[in-house]
Amino acid sequence: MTNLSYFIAGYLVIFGLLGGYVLHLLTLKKRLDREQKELSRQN
Amino acid sequence: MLFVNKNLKLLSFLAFLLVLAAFAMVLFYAPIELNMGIVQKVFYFHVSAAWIGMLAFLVAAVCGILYLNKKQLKYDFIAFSAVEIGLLFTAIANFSGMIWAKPIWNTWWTWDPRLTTMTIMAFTYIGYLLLRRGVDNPEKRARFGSVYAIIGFASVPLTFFSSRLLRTIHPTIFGADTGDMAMIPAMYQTMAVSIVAFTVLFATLLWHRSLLAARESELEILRAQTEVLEFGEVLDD
Amino acid sequence: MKDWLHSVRTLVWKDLLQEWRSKDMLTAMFAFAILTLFIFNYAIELSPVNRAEIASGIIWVVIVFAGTLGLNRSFTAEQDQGCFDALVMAVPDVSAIYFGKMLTNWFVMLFVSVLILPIYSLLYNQSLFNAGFILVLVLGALCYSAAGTLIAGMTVQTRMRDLLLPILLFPILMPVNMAVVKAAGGILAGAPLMDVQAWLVLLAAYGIIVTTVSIMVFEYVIRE
Repeated sequence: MTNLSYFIAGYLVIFGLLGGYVLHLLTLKKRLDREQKELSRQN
Repeated sequence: MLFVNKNLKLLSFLAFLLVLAAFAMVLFYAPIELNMGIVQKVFYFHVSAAWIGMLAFLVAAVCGILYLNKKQLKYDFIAFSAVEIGLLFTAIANFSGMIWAKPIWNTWWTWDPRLTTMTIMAFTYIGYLLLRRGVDNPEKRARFGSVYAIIGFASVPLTFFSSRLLRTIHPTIFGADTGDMAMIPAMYQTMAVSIVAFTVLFATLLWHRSLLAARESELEILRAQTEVLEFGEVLDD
Repeated sequence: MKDWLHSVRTLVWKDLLQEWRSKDMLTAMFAFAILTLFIFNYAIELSPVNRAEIASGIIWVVIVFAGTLGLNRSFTAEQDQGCFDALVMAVPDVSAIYFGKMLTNWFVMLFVSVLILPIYSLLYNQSLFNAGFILVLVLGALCYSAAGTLIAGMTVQTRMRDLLLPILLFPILMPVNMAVVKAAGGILAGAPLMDVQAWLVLLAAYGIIVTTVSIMVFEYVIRE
C-alpha cells in the first residue's frame, strides 16, 4: 500500500496525544502528592 | 461521595482493554478499503475522537447548568475536566483527519463544515481554559466557566449550519468527495467498538481528571490557610 | 415592565451621554476604522472587478475590530469604580443591565458604520447605500453586541481583560461573520433579498438564541 506511512503517522499522532495526556495527568498527580506532603509537614 | 476509587481502577483497566481491542480490530479485522487503501483505517479512531469532542462539550455545558443551579464545586471540576479532555480529543480528531485528508484529498485542509466546526470548537475550548486562568477566585472562576461553556455550546450547531450553508452556496470548493463510503458489516463493527472504547476511555479520563481537579482545589484552600497562619493576616481576593 | 423599560432607557442614555461627553472611544473607534480601511487598501488590491464581493468582507472586518474596542470599554467604568453592585440594586431585574449595555454597544457600532459607509463609498467610488446591505449590517451588529456584551461582562472582571475578549468572542461569533459577509456580499453583487434569505434567517436565529441564553445567565456574570 502506498499510503501505509500516512496510516502509521495517523495512529502515532492519536496514541501520542493520548499517551501524552495520560503522562500529563500522572505528573500532575505526583506534583499534588508532593505539595500535599509539604503542606501537611508545615502545619 | 462522588468518587469511589476501587471502581475507578476497574474502569481504567476496562478502558485500556477496550482501546486495545478496538485497535486490534482496526489492524486485523477491518478490511482494507479498495479506493483509499490502508489509510482509511485512521477513520475509525478519527470519528470516535470527534464524537468524544462533541460529547465533552455537552458534558461541560450540562455541568455548567448544574453548577449555576446548585453551586456545588464538584460540577465545576467535571466541567473543567470535560473541556480539557474535549480539547485533547478535538486535537486528535483534527490531526488524524488532516493526515487522512492528505493522501485522499491531496490537501491537509479543506473548508469542510465538519472540519471547520470542529476547529472552531477547539478554539472555544481554548478560550474556556484561558478565561479560567484569568480569574483567581474559585467561585467566580466556576461561574464564568459555566456561562462560557453554555453559550459556547449553544453556538456550535449554528456554526455547523452556517458552514454547511456556505458549502451549498459554493459547491465548487470541493468535489463530490465528502468522505462517505460504502461500509460493510466488518467496518461497522469496528466503528462501533471504537466508539464504545473511546466513550469508556473518556469517562475514565474524566473521572481521573475531576479527582485531580478536586484535589487541586483542596490544596489551594490549604495553601491559603497556611499563608494565613504564617503571615497572620487574611489576604482577600 | 414599565420600570424595566425605564431603567433600560436610563442606562442607555447614561452610557451614551458619557461617551458623547468624552468622545474618547468614538474618536478612537473612528480613527481605527479609517486606518483599517487604509491597511486593507494596500493589503488587498481592490480592482473594480472583485470590489463588489470583497467590500462586504472589508466593511464587516472593520466594524468587528472597531466594535471590539467599544466592547472592551463597555463595562470598565463599573468595574474600575466597583459599582457593579450598585448597578444591580438600581434595576428591577439584571436583564435590564444586559439590554442597556447591549443597546449601547449596538448604537455605538451603528454610529461607526454610519461614518464608515460614506467614507468607503467615497474612497472606492462604490455606493454602499443599499437597503438590503444596511439591513444585514444592522442585524449583524445586533447579533455581535448580543454575544459581545455577555462576554465583555466576564472578561472585564478577569486579569487579562482586553486580551481575552476577542479570543473568547470570535469563535462564538463565527456564524454571524459567515452570514453577514455572505449575505451582504450577495446583495452588493446584485442578488435579490430572496437569495440570501437563508442567511438572514440564520442571523435572526442566532440573535434570538444568544439573547435568550444571555438573559438567563447574565445574573451569574454580574452578581457577586
